[in-house]
Amino acid sequence: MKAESSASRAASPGARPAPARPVDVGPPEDLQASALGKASDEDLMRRTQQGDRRAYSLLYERYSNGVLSYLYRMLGNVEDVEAIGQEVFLRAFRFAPTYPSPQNFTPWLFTITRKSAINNARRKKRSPVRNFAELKIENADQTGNPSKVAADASADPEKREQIERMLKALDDLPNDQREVIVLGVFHDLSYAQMEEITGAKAVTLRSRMFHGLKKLARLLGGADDPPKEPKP
Amino acid sequence: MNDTAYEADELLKLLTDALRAGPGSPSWHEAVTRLRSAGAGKDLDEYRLLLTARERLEQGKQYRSVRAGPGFTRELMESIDAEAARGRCGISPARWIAIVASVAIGVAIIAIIINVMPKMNTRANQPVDLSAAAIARPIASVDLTARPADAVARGIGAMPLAFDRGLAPAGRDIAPGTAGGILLEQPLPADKPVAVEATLRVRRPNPQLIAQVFITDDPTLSSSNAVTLDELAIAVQGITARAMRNGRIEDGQIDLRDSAQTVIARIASRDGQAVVEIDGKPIWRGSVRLKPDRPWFAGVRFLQAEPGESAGVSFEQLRVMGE
Repeated sequence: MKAESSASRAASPGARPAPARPVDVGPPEDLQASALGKASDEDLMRRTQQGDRRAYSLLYERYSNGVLSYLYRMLGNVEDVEAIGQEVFLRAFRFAPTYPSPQNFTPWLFTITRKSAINNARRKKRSPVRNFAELKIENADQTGNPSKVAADASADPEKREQIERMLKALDDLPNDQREVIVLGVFHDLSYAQMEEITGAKAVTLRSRMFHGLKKLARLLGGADDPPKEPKP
Repeated sequence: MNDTAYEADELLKLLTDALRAGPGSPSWHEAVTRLRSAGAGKDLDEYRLLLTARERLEQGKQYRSVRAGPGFTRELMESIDAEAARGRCGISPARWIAIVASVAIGVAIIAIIINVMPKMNTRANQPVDLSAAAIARPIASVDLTARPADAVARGIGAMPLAFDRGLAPAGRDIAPGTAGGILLEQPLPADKPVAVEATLRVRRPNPQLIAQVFITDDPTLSSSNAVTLDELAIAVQGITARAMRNGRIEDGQIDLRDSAQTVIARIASRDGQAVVEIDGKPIWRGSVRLKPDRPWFAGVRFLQAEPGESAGVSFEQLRVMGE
């Protein structure tokens, strides 16, 4: 089941935003704002290219949570997410003139994000460990802890333990397998979108998804345990 | 298995579609139906396990889901406004990078020249006066032989405390790792010379208990959290007093056997430099490593290091001094 909350939408950048609520007819600015809210990502990027910063702000609102969450899931430490997240959105604004319209915006933005994360890893520069309260990123204290997430996800102790083990094991997967799982599972991106972002062919991405999940599946009780029937 | 199998083999393609899309999607439903009717087999059993694993991941999908706080957004928008203004100036980002790089190289060369000329009269060469005589103006004072008012100091940590003959752990059998103390509500002037002095009475040296005086820029200390890594502290354990900076014990210590029963534990800071002393005798001197643009706080606390006694040591007074 897929949640339809705005938080979920923000974490799944491939989904389209819900239509804006009807507004009273007020000054032209309100009409313009509501029209902007209904515009596609690609339209907003075109407006950004023409100097419309409100359009870019709206794109930022739609994608900030997804980009920051992707960075946290790939980098594993929330301290670096702040700095790299700023860099991503600044670069996207700076290089808006080079956005290859009418290409889908999501893979373009996630390509910038991915490259920024890789560059950070190459620089081997890590932000100092800080208290959650100091960070300008919210919710990390709740969702950064696998046992808290597992406890919220299920009341069944066995499932809870499985969820926790699998989330912890994500960091131990090879980078390419973890990336496919993060992009495909956590961010709902298609294999075609992942092809654009990573440069790897869809067949290779499917193989990484299969083998990555196979490694995680071993934590469910071992290869010799009787398999459980998946629920619809 | 060859990568191409994941698109050539219909079941594998369906399975990897289902694994990506997850529970509730059409490909998931189709994959489950196909596997359910396919009977037994090693590969098929493995595929079913993969679907179960995918279900668990779906349940944990909020893992590391974060959002930008207002501070993050504000900082970004300011950067974007600046970026847009630069664009209007007609100077391209690449040109700006070249200009900034040239300036940076020039500054670096000047800095090297300054540092290799020992007779240059720089501020760094002048000793920083951290003495009690220099930082002697009382700013705040708390008598710890009685419970201070809530507006003056608040309790931190879970350790039970008493104020009978000074602040001390109360009760017996305090679990190792338990910490507790008090934190002054009034913040310290972090950008000015400041000293924190605590009167510590050591009736009976106790190696199971650590008594600490500390200054911190961490605002999260509370009734459930008495410890932080962002601090400079004096730690007295048994007969030994040491300095601790950001959770690490620094070189240097003082033996309290020759001291009176009551000692003054002092931390002083000026211009990013600090000293930690017992009765005016320095234990350690170095850089303070607390953020000067945030308020600092002072406090005292106890930490039960090992099982056993919690008695023998108490704080009688805590003072803050300025210049």
